[in-house]
Amino acid sequence: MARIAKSIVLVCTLMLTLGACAAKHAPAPSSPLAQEDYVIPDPLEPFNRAMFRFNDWFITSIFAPVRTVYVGAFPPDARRGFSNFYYNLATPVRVANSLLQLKVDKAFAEIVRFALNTVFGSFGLANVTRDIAWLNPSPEDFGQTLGQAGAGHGVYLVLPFLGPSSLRDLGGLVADSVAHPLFWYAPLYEAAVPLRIHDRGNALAQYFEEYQRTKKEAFDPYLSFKDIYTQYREGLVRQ
Amino acid sequence: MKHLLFALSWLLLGDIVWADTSPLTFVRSNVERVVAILENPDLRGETHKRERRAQLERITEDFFDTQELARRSLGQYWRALSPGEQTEFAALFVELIKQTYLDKLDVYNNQGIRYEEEIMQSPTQAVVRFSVATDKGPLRVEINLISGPTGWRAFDITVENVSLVRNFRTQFQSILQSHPPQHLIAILKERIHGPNR
Repeated sequence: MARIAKSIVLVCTLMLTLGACAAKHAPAPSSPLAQEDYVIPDPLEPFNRAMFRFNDWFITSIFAPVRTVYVGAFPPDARRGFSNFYYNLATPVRVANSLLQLKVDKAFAEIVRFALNTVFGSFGLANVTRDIAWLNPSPEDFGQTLGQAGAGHGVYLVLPFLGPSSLRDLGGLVADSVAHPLFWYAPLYEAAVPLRIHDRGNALAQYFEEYQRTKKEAFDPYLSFKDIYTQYREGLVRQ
Repeated sequence: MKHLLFALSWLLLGDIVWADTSPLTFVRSNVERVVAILENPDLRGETHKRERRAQLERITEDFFDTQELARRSLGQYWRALSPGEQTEFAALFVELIKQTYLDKLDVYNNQGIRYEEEIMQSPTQAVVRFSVATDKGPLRVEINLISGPTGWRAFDITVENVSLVRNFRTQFQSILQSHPPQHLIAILKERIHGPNR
């Protein structure tokens, strides 16, 4: 059963990846001063806006009270520890994508970071490399690998529960999920989904206030978050 | 008398002194001014909020080229505004920036700032990069600067690849696609002076 599920995910990844690759590559602005800003095509805007409203409802009505309890139960150090652990666990994904982009220095930094945090940071719960700049490279994922290879975003997507994405980055997300140790390490296979949900929930709990503030400050929250996503992802591809 | 003249000359020459500084020195000195205010025990707490805020506002006005900041936040739509509307919009936009972001500086807690590089994009434009140490890891910040008659001034701040001005531009342009400039100005006024500010 698990093998069938993996095969389905692999096929979906391939389809999404090819779809994103086939999409016309829209050039990013040549400099941060450029007035012609790159915008991810948004032909599904009505659907995306509905999904944005759904996610916002979920975050403010369902997640917020759960977060209050969660934050009360786990102090900031514990939540940061979870976050460090999951980030450390996902090192193989970042190493693979660094190598795919021929960024050997980043792959090396990720491996050293992983070794130090696993051995001296209680299996990654503590980030002992936090203050060492070269051991904190910007993260690489498969969406960025596709971007480096010249693939455009395709179309903008707002995913239920997961938020802003694009056709290219959705393909990347699925590919990275397949490359994640939780997908392949049998003893953790059954726990993979709960652990991934906890990872996302813990991250959202951490950034909840920033989310609320950004939404409040925006004139059009949907457009603001779409632009933040676009800029952030384009910046990562450039790095 | 001699001291008074000396002090007065420094005040009058202030802009000329700024004109001779490098972009990195300009950014660093202004960041240090902000940090000095935030670390000043006489200005801490809710009771000194107004005074602290007034001093931070003065730095903001010194730091930004308000006209350039406003112009870039509208992009191509800047020309759709009359000179009077441009002046009004620029003043409102800077007020919005102050209102939105200055109070956030209160969370500053001796985080280390590491200046990384100064990139001269042209003789009149530069980028200064630095990072701020946070619990969540280093926060990468870029300041875009332009050189004018009074020296270097900032016109954009980019945090973790996200440009503040571009984010506003995306939203302002969307409003101006279907409304006249006065509508945008009215929205800004409502945001700044309205009950939900």
